Amino acid sequence: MKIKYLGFFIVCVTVIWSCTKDDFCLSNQNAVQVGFYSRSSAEDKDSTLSGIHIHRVGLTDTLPPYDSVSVNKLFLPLNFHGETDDDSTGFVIRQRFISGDGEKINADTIVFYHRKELVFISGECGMFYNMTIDSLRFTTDFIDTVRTEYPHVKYDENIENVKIYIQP
Amino acid sequence: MDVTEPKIKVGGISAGINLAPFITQLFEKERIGFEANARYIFNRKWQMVAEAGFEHVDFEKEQYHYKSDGTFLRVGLDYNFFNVDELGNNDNILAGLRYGAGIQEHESPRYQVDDAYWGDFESKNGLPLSSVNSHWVELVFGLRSEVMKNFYMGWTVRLKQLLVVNTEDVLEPYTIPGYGHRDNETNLSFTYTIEYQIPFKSKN
Repeated sequence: MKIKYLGFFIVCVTVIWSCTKDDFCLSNQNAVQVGFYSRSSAEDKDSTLSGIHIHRVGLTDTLPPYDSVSVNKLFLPLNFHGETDDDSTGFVIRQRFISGDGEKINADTIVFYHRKELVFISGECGMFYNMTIDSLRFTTDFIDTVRTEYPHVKYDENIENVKIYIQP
Repeated sequence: MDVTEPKIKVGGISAGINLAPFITQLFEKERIGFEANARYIFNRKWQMVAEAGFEHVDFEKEQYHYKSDGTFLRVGLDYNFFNVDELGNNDNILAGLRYGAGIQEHESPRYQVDDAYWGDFESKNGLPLSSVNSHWVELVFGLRSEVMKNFYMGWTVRLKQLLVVNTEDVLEPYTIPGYGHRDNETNLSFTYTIEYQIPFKSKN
C-alpha cells in the first residue's frame, strides 16, 4: 500500500527533524560594553584612543587584547566569583601617548559595583550569570565623566552599557 | 459447508505499548522511558485514546549534571477516515488531537559557568530537587493495521505545541516526559505501537 511507504518516509523525516540540534553557546557574555566619547562634542560621537593598556585592579597582567591598542570600544569582563550576589570589579585603563614633552602615560581606574543573577540558557549551554550594574566609581586623569546607559549585562544581548567621556 | 464470513470490527478496547522510547534511547542514551496506551473504539469512525508513561534522564556535560524523573498522560480523540471496501479489512488511517500533561522532579547536582578571564565558576551545591509541570497539545496523523487476528501495529507522526511549563526555580527541564526537548516550543515526533484489541461488536 503506497501509504505505507509514505509513512516510512514521514517517520524518517521525523527522526531526522527530532535529532537534537546542538546550540552554539556564546562566550564572554559577562563583559560590560564601554564606549569612548568626546566630552567636547555637542552630541555623542565616539572617540578612538591609542596606546590603550588595561589590567585589573591589584594586578599588572594585561586584559587581552588590550595591550597598546587603538580602540573606541571596550569589553570589560565582570567577576561573578564572589561569595555573595553583590560584588565589584575594577580595571585600570592606561593611555600611552607622545606629546611635545615626550612619552606620557595617563591612567584612570574604573570600578563597577554589580550584582549577579543565575539564569538557565538552554539544555545544551546550561547556566549563566546575568549582571546588573548598580553604580560605578572612576578617577579623572583623562576621563571627564562616565554614564551608565543600560545597566544590564545579559547573555546574548549586544547593547552598550557605559559611556566614558574623555577630557578635551 | 460452513464458511466463516470475514467481519468488520466496529467497536472494542485495545491496549498496547509504544516502541519509540526504545528507539529514542539508541540516539539519546541519557533518556530511558516507557509508554503504554489504551484505546476505546466507539465505531468505525471515532476512537478515544489515552497514553501514559514515564521518563528518566541522567547526563553529565562539562557545563552541568542533570537528573530528572517524570510521568505523563496524553488523552484525545482519533478519527478514522479510511473507508473500507474490503471485507475483513480493519485497518485505520487516523487523524487526531491530544492534550498532554507531564510532571517531573529534576535537579542539577553540579553546574559550571565558563569564563576565559576570571576562570570557570564551579557551583558548590548545584541546584536542589524541584518540581515541574508542563502542558501541551498534539496534532496526530498515522496508520493502524491489523497484522494478525486482533493484533495491530501502527505508527503516528505528531506535531506538538508546548502551552506552558511551570518551574519552581531557575532550572528548566532538559526534556519533558511525553513531549520531548523543552528547548523546542514545537516538536515533531513519532510513535510506533503494538496493540491487542478485544472487539466487542462486529458486523458482517
